Amino acid sequence: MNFKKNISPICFYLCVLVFVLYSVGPIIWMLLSSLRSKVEFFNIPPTIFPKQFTFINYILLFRETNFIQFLLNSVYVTIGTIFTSVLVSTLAAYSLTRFNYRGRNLFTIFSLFAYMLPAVLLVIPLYLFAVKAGLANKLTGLILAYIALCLPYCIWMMRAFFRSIPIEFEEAAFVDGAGRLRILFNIVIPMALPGVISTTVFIFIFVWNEYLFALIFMSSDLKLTFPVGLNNFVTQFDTYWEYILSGSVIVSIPALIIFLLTQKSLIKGWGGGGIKG
Amino acid sequence: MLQKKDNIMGFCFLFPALILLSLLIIYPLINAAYLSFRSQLIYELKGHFIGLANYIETLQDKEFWNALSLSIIWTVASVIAQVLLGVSAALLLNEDFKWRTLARALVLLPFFMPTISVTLMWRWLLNENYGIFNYILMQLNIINNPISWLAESRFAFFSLICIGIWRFSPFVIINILARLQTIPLELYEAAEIDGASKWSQFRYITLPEIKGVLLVVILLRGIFMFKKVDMFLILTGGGPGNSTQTLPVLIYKSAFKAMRLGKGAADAMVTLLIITIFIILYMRITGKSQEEVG
Repeated sequence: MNFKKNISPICFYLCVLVFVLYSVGPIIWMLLSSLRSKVEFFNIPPTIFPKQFTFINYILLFRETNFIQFLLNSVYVTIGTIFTSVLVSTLAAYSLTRFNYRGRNLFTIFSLFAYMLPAVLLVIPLYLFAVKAGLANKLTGLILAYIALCLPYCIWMMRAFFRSIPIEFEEAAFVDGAGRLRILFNIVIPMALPGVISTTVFIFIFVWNEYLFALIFMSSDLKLTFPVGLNNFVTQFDTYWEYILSGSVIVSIPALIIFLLTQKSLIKGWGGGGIKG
Repeated sequence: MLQKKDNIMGFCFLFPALILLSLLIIYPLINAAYLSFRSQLIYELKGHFIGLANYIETLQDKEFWNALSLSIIWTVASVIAQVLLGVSAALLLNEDFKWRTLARALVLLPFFMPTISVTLMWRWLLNENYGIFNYILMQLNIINNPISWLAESRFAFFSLICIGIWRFSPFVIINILARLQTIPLELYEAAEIDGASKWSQFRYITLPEIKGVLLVVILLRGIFMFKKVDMFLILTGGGPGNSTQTLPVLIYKSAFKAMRLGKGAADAMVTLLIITIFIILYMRITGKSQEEVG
């Protein structure tokens, strides 16, 4: 449809500009705010561009707080979740698409259903489980919980990718006498690599966003992941904006890099009936 | 040929996933159901059976009905707005223009920022005294005095809905845009020749084409918005009063603030019942197309 020709180009570009500003304006404001000294935060009227650009908030964040520890914890949990979920879901998806046994469809449908369950429903029994297993306040416990939340969708997504790979290659290799595992690792997984990447990105975004389990499972300050760590800078008495703003910007950077790198294929993959939320 | 053989081996490949899902989802679900019939405080390792008492309490509780209606308003309002905004943006971004790739990427940004960053960012923007938002509104003479957007019960829920719309509209844009790109241009050219107006082109070509995807997107967004809890916990904690206490927030508070795991589990089971209806609806609708496509 071509309303560009219809309405005036100026009006069209104005509409686009409004949408773009609405989307990124707040983010740019956060970035600009983080680059000014604490004194300038509370200027009335606010200065649009900082009078003096400074990285002092970032320096203080790294020097005065446990932020690096929060980041490391998050990275650790992300890697642990990605490693387990990708491996297990790849095997499962291969099994679901290349073998015939009863209960296959039930398992697939259950995966989708499990993905849509509210996290707040699972957090009660999983918390009890973690306490009994001695995994509360341990990053391993958090990884297990994140696997529970990620794995169903990973299976669902990997299965879709495996289904799109023609089986003829494998049959040829099979005839040539290659074993199952060799076929899987030498033929199927390389072809399903886009799926593995999508799954990895999905888990990364998930862990980078997750707040509820991190809040409930972790109690000691040094074990926190950054979502809870950053939010703890909002205290009853004071809000440490200098840490909050700089920290929020820093944790956004990896997310944005991954978004830029994978944007095209993500949009394609999700457009084809993919889901995430 | 390959498919029929060695099914035992196939099952071995599935085994790790089966174990993990049973241990981490099926068992917890059963456990939650079991808990909902018990009275168990968070620091107790064992509770005791109290039958339906939790459920009766939940259904007689004004807070529960308040939470349910807030959940419905939150879901319906934010999904409608996300769809309207998302579809309009997708239509704009589907046009051919200079800087289109950049504009597309920028419009999708809110969806890809970490939750904690954007929620704390909005806390900063909406700050009563130093927030840019109040400042702009006052400059434009829309308001006379700064408003405490997140701490006043008149505004807190509304603010959260607006933040939710801002963050999640890109999901609609992504999906609609992908679908728009597959509509053959010839359809519009033919309509153009027949002298059809822009509106009737949208009404009779675009809308029927995107209808399927739109329905799926609406259901998905509905499910995801309904279960949203992090934004609430970070920004208002369900308050002030219980003006932003949706069902997931209520569950969290019953279980971890009031420390009554049993009551929280009962609240959760009722919520599960509601959301399952929509999940089944979603599966019914997509089930057919999934079979065809993949």
